[in-house]
Amino acid sequence: MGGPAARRIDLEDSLDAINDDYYSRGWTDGLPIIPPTEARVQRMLAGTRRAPGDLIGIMPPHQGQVTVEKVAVNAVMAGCAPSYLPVLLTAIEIVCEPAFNLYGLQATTNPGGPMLIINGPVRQEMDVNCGHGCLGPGRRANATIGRAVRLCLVNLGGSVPGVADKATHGFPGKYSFCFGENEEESPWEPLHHERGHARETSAVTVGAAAGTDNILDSSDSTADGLLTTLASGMKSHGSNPMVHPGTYPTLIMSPEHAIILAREGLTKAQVKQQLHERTGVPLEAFSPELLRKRISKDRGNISAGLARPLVTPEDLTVVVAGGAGAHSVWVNTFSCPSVTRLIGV
Amino acid sequence: MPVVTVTTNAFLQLAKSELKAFGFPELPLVLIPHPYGQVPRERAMAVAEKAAQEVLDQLERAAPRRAALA
Repeated sequence: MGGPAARRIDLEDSLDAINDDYYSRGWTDGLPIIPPTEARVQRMLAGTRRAPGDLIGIMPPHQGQVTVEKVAVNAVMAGCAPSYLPVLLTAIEIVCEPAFNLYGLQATTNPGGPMLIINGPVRQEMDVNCGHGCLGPGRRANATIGRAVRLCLVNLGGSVPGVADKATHGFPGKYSFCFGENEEESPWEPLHHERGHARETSAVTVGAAAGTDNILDSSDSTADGLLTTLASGMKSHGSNPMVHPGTYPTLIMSPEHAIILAREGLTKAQVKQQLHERTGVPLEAFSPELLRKRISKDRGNISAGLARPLVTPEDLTVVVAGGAGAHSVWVNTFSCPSVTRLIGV
Repeated sequence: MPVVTVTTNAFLQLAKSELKAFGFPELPLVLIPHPYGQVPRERAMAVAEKAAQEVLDQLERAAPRRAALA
């Protein structure tokens, strides 16, 4: 099925003037963009076999018709290389499906935005950072693929802060949140393989991230000790998973932390089970009104007088990423699933 | 079927842009003050009663229009 072609506009051939114009129209994320000239968009489109007019989906809240060409325009603006386009198209396909609840994610007062996790050989082909500083600046793929998603959300979904994006604060990950799994240093099967795809394939996982909390534990050398520390970082009373159970948060474990757990024989599934068991908060620990109005509306996460941020252990995504160091990252979330899909062409 | 959308003043722009996006820019809106979730019970009840009356008024206004269109 096809969608409408991107609109053509004529502007003065000046980087500054074009940036001023795009910014004034609300077409950017606040940062300067690469002007999406027809020539640049054509070069970007060479990164996929899909036709420019192919309809990818309808993007809420403004119900924008998302075509391959329009995604390519935003990819140019973000600074993507053409080889990134298939990853971006797959991610956009995922978020446009009604089951992803992008409508809620775009318009909520929560700070969330899409988080992309890349698996497979495409990580090397695109030079995706999976190690030191993979959630921070420095690599083109991490920086621009996530940024292109954001620009699509703004320009095709209408996610303008204060208008349709009603985040009370937002968070810096809404500029870009894209990294690769450090499969080479992980003791466990990679995320896409865990979810049924062949190890040698490339895939992207999209979920919702609503902030990152660093969990430092450079002391514990046993699984029991480390799990205690990790669990303590996952059970804030006011977190979305605790207040609205049935969400799908992520724990990004450093290779060092993962190895401490794996060397005692724990599988990823067992780690999730352990964290599910250890993240219970006694009901009497909550404030009376929070308990009465929210926590006590048991959605399957309360048992034996304890409320948990996970309804089931499988609700937690565990992924290994980052470089040397005894840190893991708890990624708070919003009410969106975590979806893994093979990257198309 | 007559429809009234209830929203808070903080979400008014979003509500208007949504009505436009879905092709119903004329659908009536009833506004309640933001925030509404953490106010004293008496205040919440007053807001609810006022909003409920406005919803009824809007629905009654919509009914003759619907009859005229039938």
